[in-house]
Amino acid sequence: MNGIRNDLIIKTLAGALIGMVIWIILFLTGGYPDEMVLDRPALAAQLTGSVIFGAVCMGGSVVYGIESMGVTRATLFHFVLCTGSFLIVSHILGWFPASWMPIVLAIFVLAYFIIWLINYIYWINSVKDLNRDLEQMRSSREKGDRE
Amino acid sequence: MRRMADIEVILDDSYTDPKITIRTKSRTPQIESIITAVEEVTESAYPMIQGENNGNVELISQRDIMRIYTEGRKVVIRTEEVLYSSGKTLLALEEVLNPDRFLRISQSEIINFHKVKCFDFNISGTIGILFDNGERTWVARSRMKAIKAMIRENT
Repeated sequence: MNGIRNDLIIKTLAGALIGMVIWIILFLTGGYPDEMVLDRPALAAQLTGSVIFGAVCMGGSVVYGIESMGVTRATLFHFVLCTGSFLIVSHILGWFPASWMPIVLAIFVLAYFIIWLINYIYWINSVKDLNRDLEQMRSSREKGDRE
Repeated sequence: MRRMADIEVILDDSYTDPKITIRTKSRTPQIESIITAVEEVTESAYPMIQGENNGNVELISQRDIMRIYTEGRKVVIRTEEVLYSSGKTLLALEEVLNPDRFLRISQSEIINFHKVKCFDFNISGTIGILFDNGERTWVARSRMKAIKAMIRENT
C-alpha cells in the first residue's frame, strides 16, 4: 500500500509539472485560441487548469499498478478519470468550442481503446508463450517419469 | 554372506527431482534401511511443512503442496485434497520452500508450479492460473517475467 501511495504522490507531482511545461510551451508558441483573454487572472487560471489536468492524468496512472484490477478495469478507470477531467477543465477554461466536444470525446475513446487493445494483445501472447513453455516442461517431466 | 548393493547413477536432464528406483528380489531389512536413509536425506534438503487441519498438526511434503496464500490474517496451505492453516508467515515459509518448485505469484500467494495445468488471460485483463485439480487463482502481471524464467529453467 505504501508503494502505491508513494507512486501516486510522485506521479501526481510529475504530472502537474508536465502540465505546467506543456502550458508554457503552448503559450510561448501561440498555441491558444485568438479570442482567449490573456490578463493575469486568466493566465493563472489556464496554468492551474493545465497543472490539474496533468496531475490527474499522471497520478491516475497508478491504477495500472494495482494488479488485482486487471488491465481492462484499469484502462476504463483511467479513461473516465482523464476524459472527465479534460472535458470539465477545457469547458471551464474555453480550450475549444463546445461543438467540438463529441469529436474530442471520440478521440479519447479511440485512444484508450487502442491502448487497451495493445495491452490485451501483448498479454494474450505472453500467456500463450507461457503455456507453450509449461507444456514443454510437463512433457519432459512425464517422459522422465515413464522412463 | 550379505552382498553390498550395486549403485548406479544415471545423469538425465529431464529429472528435476531425482528418481530413485530400487530393483530387488524381495523387500529385505537392508532394502528398508536404504529407503529410510534416502527419505531422510531428501527430506532434510527441503523440510516438510507443518500445517494444522481440524485441530491436528500434520507434516506436509512440499511435493504435495499446491499453493500457499494469505486469507485475511491467516496463512493457508492447500494440497489437492486438504486445506491447512499455518502459524508461519508467507515470508517465513518462502525461505524453506524448494525454489525449483515454488514461486511467489503475488503479494499474498506462492504456488507450486508443478501443479499448474495452464495459464489464461480473460477479457477483464487478469492472468489466471488453472491447477490440475481445477482450482483457480490469479497472478500479478509484474511476476510474469519471473514465472517465465522459472518454467524455462525447468524445461
